[in-house]
Amino acid sequence: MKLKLFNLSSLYILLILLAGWYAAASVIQPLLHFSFQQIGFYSGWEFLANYSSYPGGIADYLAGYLSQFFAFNTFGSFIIVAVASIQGFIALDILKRFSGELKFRFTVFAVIFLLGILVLSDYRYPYYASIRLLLAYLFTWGFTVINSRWPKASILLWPVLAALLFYLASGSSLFVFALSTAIIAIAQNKQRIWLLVIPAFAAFAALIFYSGYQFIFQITLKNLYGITMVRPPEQLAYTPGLPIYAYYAVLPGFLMIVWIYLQFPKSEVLPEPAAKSKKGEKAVAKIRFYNKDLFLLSIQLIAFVLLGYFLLDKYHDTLKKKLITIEYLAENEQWADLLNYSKSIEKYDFRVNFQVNRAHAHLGDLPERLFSYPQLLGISGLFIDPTTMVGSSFVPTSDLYFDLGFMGESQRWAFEAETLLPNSPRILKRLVMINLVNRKYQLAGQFLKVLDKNLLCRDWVSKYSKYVSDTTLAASDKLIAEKRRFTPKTELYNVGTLQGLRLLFDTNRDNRMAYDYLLTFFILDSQLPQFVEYLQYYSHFNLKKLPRTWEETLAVYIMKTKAFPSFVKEETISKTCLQQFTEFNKVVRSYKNDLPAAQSILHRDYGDSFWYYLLYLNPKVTNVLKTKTDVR
Amino acid sequence: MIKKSIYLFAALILITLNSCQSKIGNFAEVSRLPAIFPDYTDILIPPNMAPLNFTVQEPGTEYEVRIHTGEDNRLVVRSKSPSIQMGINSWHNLLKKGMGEKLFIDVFVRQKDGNWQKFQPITNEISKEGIDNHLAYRLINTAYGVWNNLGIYQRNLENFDQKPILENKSFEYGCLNCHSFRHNDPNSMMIHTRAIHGGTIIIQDGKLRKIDTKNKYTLSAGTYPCWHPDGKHIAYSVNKINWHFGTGETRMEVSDEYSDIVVYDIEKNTLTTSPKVSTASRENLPNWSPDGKFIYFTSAPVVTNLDDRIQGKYDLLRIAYDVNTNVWGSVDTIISSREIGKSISFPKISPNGKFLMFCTSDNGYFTIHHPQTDLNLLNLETGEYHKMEINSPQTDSYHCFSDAGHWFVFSSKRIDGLFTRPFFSYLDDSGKATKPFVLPQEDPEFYNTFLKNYNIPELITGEVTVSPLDIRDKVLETAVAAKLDPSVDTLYMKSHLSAPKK
Repeated sequence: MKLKLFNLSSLYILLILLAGWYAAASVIQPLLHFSFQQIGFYSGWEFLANYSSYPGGIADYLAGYLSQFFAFNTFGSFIIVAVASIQGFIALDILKRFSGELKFRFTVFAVIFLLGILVLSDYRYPYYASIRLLLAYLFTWGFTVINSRWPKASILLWPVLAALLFYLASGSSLFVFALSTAIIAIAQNKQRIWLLVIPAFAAFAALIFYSGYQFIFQITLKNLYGITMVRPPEQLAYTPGLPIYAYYAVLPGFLMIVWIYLQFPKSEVLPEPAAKSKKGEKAVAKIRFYNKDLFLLSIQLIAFVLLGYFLLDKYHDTLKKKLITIEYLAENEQWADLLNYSKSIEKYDFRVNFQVNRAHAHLGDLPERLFSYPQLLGISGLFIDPTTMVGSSFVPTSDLYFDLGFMGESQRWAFEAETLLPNSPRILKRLVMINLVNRKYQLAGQFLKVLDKNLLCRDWVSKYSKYVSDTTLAASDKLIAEKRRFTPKTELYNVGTLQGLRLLFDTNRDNRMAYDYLLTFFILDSQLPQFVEYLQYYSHFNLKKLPRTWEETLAVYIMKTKAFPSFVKEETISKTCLQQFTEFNKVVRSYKNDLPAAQSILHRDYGDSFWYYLLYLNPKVTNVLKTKTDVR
Repeated sequence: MIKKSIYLFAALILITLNSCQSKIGNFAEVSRLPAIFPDYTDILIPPNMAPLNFTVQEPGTEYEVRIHTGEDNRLVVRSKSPSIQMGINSWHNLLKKGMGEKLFIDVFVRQKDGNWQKFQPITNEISKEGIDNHLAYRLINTAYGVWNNLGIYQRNLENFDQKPILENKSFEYGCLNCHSFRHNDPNSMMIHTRAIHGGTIIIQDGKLRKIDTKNKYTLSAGTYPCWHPDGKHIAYSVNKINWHFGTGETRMEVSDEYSDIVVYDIEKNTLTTSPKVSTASRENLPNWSPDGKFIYFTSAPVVTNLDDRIQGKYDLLRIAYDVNTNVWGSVDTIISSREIGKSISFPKISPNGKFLMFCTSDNGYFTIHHPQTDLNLLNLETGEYHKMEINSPQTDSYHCFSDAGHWFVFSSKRIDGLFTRPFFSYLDDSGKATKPFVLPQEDPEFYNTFLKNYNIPELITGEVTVSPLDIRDKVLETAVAAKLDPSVDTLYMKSHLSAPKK
């Protein structure tokens, strides 16, 4: 059966589309983009107005609309694949009009498609860059069509297209358009006079830039010509790398290559002499195997697969993906999954540490399993200091304070986060809940009205809007009722973490999470007398036996003070624990208190104990606080 | 023939549509006022104010609102939605004809059963005196430590047009604050920019300068400003500011470790101060008297500990200062915080020099975060002062008089307790203020979804015509350092600044 080149390459294109969809859904996971960037799109003129005041804003608006569907992993991947493939098909059509039948049709499509997906391997990638480029492709295609039919008219139309594109998709798209159309205009119109389009287009593009900056838009020059915009928040500060530069350069690059290729006289590829045919059979010219379509296409396909694998491996940061997944699981309160998933991250990270502690607290086993994750940062892994993290920790910090019942602090960090990510539905939801807890129904209603303009929040809004109109619903909501009981009423200023935890526990002795965090704070900060001072309240929680880390800490206290606190009964601390502590000390002594020498054996037997932490991991011992890892 | 047929057809459609909107025949009277948002009831309206669009918060399927001053001066709005939006021209015609008269608003609501209800008419009044036609303000989020998109904007009060004066996206998202005008004049303005491309931008009659007002003999760059009436001098406080976060209703407190007052001479580009306003106490928030002979300011005792610093109360003082001779008078206490039991902030004198409006709160001076902050009025002729009747249980703070001196704007969180909105009121010659009303918006539901705050509302008599792009270009330039006036006692300032602070 004879396979036509077109059909075969179409089949291969279909194959890579499916492979791309799979890769986007399973490797990149647009859901993580959605979660990390906290994408929020709202209906209404006010929201659109924010995007209409700067060049590229309209493309950003469209990108915002599309990328909100990243919340659905499969559909989000489909959007990514669709946009990348539309770019590929547009490029194919432009090149076909430009040069006739394309031999490397598959490669052209595949490279553009691959880059369109590859750029998303960075989770800070702003999707508007893809949409801006898509508009540049569309405008270039439009120009190509017009130029092929009415060359002179196309020149007159060019400034209009360029100015419009500049407004819709900003400077970098204009650059792609200007360069591509200049090549097309020269190639499609053979007369030398057409060479003048290069300076003419360049001059006009420069004029658009200049007048845009000087007379129209309140925007920095960098944001006018850059592929992506430099703007807060810091945690989403995307640094353009090779993939995005290649992505923007690929269309003019292909046009340039094809144009140069067309300048050379074509040499006919002569087929080998036809084999002697049997009687009645047509003589078929023998084509060398390397000129056969199937071979050429298969080579291209293999090269594409290898290149795709290599580039994804190089540019997709799996650690970042894992960290974002942890944050995503925490956002969705999938605590058991979070703990499971955290095991796949071998490298220590303070964000994982923070969320693992939170997960344990939610599952009620923080005092039991505290040291199952290495607490290398001590209390800084329990509470991230948001003031040093410029934005990226605002939401988790707000979440933690909400968990603890500290509405004032939760609201404070939620507002900081809302300032940096004003469209984040997650933060607005947090503000709704805080105001419901605080009985500020009008404010909760205001935030709900904003959220109601978000397509994906309708169900959530519908549920909580009823709480605003019928306050009995809020009062009977278990979570809200609990937080109302826990939130402190005392007016204090400059409440630090420790004072805040004390305040929470003093406000309501039923606040088990605050109690766990308070004792954990003392444990991680090695404040043993204070730990014991508060440990005496353990009986309030009907604990028959102390959880492991409390026992271990108490054992150290007893050893240091050589006395049992008055509230400690025989059954409070297990004999096993005391025996293990004795064993632990024996090992240390057997190494003549040479701690580095004893570390390996102690790690093997006691690596997840408070005793090991005290000697080897405590930041007061290791001084590691200056070398915090960063999610970026 | 075809053309005529089209016209006839169009006319028929119009007649049909009009007849569909049948006139209200019978209606039931409801013996109360209708609930409307924003609250535009029982207020005095400037004759040049934009339409007071509102939402009728009564259930119904159709609404008709008749706004009138008399039989021949009326405006009718019929709407299927409770959102009542009036045409700008017809509204202004109505106000113009009815100046000095009562303005009635009759609200009719159609019930599900098709019957109409009429509520008791809302009665307002149209003032004979107009308000300055523009309002300048900063729009900021509710965060305390970080900022993102910031801008200073001007709103035409006669319609709904808002234009930027300067937005921080034009200079790499630096901070900008404390816009100030010389006696409501849009041609004399200053803005501070901070963090990135920092400095003070001074705009006078289209000429722009960028100044660095920090000097080694001053505590900081100029902070809270006030223009001298001559337009050649600006008094600033210089402050060492810190933030403290609270667990209660006052979510954040801003306090000064120390602060002084300086005067900047625009023409000479010099800064001056005096040991009388650069003491160990915390002098703050200067405000010139309309004749330019006195600086009114607040002052709190020296800080000895953190509690002092946060809980300290400010007195209201004044000092004579002659800008021509650079001679300082002596300090006089106008109102003592001990006497009033409150801390005083933001003293502002009415243009006729008769009243001084100020804020009071339990402590400190950064009143916008204090729910208990109230506006007060001091009669400078009699020395009597009182808490104004316009206060609400929520924050009522920063204020600014209009050019003519009767209308004023102030910041209030009375709508929801969180977001700051500008409210207007009229102060008569006896010191009585009318019920305040919020800045009208085209969409009456605007304040229910707008999550930014109106910060430092300043009334101005016209539009700031200097382009935001010109201001941006100036912001991007390097600031010119202000020099110290030779008359400043540098030895004193040196020892004052090096004194141990707590």
